[in-house]
Amino acid sequence: MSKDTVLKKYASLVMDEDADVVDVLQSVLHYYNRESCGHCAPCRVGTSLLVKIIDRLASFEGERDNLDQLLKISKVMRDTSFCPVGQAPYSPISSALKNFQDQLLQHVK
Amino acid sequence: MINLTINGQKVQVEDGATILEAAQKADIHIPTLCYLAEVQAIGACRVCLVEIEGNRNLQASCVFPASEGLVVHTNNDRVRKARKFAVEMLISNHPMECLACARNLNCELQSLAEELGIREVRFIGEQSEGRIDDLSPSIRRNQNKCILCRRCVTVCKEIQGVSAIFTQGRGFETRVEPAFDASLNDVACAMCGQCSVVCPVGAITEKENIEEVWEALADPTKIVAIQDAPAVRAALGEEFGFAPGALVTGKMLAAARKLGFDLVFDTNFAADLTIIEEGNELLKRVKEGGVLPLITSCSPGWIKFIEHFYPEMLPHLSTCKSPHQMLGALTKTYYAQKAGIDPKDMVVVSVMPCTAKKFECNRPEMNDSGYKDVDYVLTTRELAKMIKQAGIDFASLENGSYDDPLGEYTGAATIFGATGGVMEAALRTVYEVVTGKTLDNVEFTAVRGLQGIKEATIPVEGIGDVKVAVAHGLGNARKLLESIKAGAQYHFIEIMACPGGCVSGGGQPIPVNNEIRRLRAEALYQEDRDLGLRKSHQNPSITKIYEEFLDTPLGEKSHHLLHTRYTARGVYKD
Repeated sequence: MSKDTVLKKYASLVMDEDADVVDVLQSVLHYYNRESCGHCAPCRVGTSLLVKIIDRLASFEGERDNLDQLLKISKVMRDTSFCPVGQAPYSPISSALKNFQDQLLQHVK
Repeated sequence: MINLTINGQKVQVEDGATILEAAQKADIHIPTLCYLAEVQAIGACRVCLVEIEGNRNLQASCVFPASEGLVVHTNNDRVRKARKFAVEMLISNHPMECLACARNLNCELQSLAEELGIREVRFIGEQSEGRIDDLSPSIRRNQNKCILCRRCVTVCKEIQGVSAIFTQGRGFETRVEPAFDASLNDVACAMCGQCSVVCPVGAITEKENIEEVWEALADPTKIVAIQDAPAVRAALGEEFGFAPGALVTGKMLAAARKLGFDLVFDTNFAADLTIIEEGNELLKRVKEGGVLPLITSCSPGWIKFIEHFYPEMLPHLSTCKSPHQMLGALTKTYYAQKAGIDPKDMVVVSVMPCTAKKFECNRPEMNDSGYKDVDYVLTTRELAKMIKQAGIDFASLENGSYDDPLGEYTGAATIFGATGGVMEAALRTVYEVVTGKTLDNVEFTAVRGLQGIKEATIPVEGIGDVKVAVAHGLGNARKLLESIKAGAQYHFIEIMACPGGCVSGGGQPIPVNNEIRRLRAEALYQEDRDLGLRKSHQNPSITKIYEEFLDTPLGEKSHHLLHTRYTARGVYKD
């Protein structure tokens, strides 16, 4: 992983060179989905949508559009969510797309 | 004062105002969903987002305080897209059953989707697996339609002080339910229906009885009687495009005949009767040293509340049934005898501004006529639906009239629909009965209006100063009961479960706010002024019913047909 890849704020994750970015994203997005308290709509529903999409990519069922959706949804979530939980998924998603697009594309049908 | 700029326009607001309030002051529209003026501002739905220069994220204007020099944009591209996204998130987990929904065409989510220009459903997300709870006779909850705005939770807790429903679980699993996912029917719920009034969608509605009433009307062997509560005439018009506060008594009666009801009575008759019975009950308790203060019993939401939360105070309640239950019992006894109808062939339908009355008519003690005294209760909203289903052009109806003798009423009866009305009506009669003098100024303005708890002291020759209090909204009722427990002295107290009284009951047209409450109450005060007779004991049909049937107030027949008993329920189910 390159040095400027952001996974979580105030968190670090140790993994070896063979780690797949989709697996990592999957773990991170499930984390935010679990942590969402349910107060505001963008985070409550948004994190569940992100999880649905990343699970599809993780099982190699995804489509090219899904990468774009991940970015768009998480970006508006950053703009609209009540607290940092809903604002957070944009950072790992955007840096994964920037730094590991080829790996992500391998998961597309 | 604070100066800020919204959309290039200079706005000045008081300290402590939010950006939403500042925008409203400047007539700048910001859409909202979970926000409810006077009740809730929690920034949960994210529909009222605005851009504030210098802030990285968009901010919810309903909770963001205005401060000096802020530059706010409420309608730029970024804001519009964000709002649309917030609503799309809600829609992605909302059943698209609009065509079959009780709130179709009066749904805030529907209106927002239109206002924000949503033309495709871009996100299909997980669908919540909520449940439908329709065990309560008053309220039906469909958790699948819930958008988690939490207005119902706030109104139940903060305004009504009941806390029957809460948000449970977290994240996507969040849901609004009674404790331990019990049915609303099994918890300490007053059935007031205020949750159904504030619900922006169809997640909480009244339990409809429209089909049962259509069936009764279609049955040639049944004589079907209808009665309308006072508050219905002050709000029904809103369902047909009339401005809030339009009084539609005549059209309501005409519509009832067109729907096919054989007998059109008026709950107001029984409101006058309540004053005679309850007034005498008050005098008896004052003279004989009975339990004081005497507290009114017209509001079944209030009755259910005191049965759950203050069962030790039940002896304070008047034993009078609520007016429509009195009228139901009299329809199947007094009227049936007079008209030579077998009461088993009669069906009594009450149109009420209330959801708790659906529960009340099913109470086992409400069978004093030998049959179910009131068979079905419809809300004002349900009556409006029936009128629409029948294709009746409500606005162009000529004024109709009620049937004698259970339709005649005085101004004292019609003001029952507004908070303080029962008290005022009772004072008009008690004063004249006790002093034997004519009361010239019949308007007791101290008990009118939307102040939470109102108090007055009325000198009545013969019994001295009569101390009264009026509370509306169960939260205020709780405060008043606590003050009585702490030693406050009163003779007579009126309590209505719903804020504003019946005019904004749980079965009334949606939406409602304090201005609408005021206008609907004013419509009733106007009808009172317009009626020649403004004191219940002046109602000639009331005099007649005592002569012909009831004999004397608090007499044996009254005791049997017009009075009831209560059940100590406690907060927890056994």
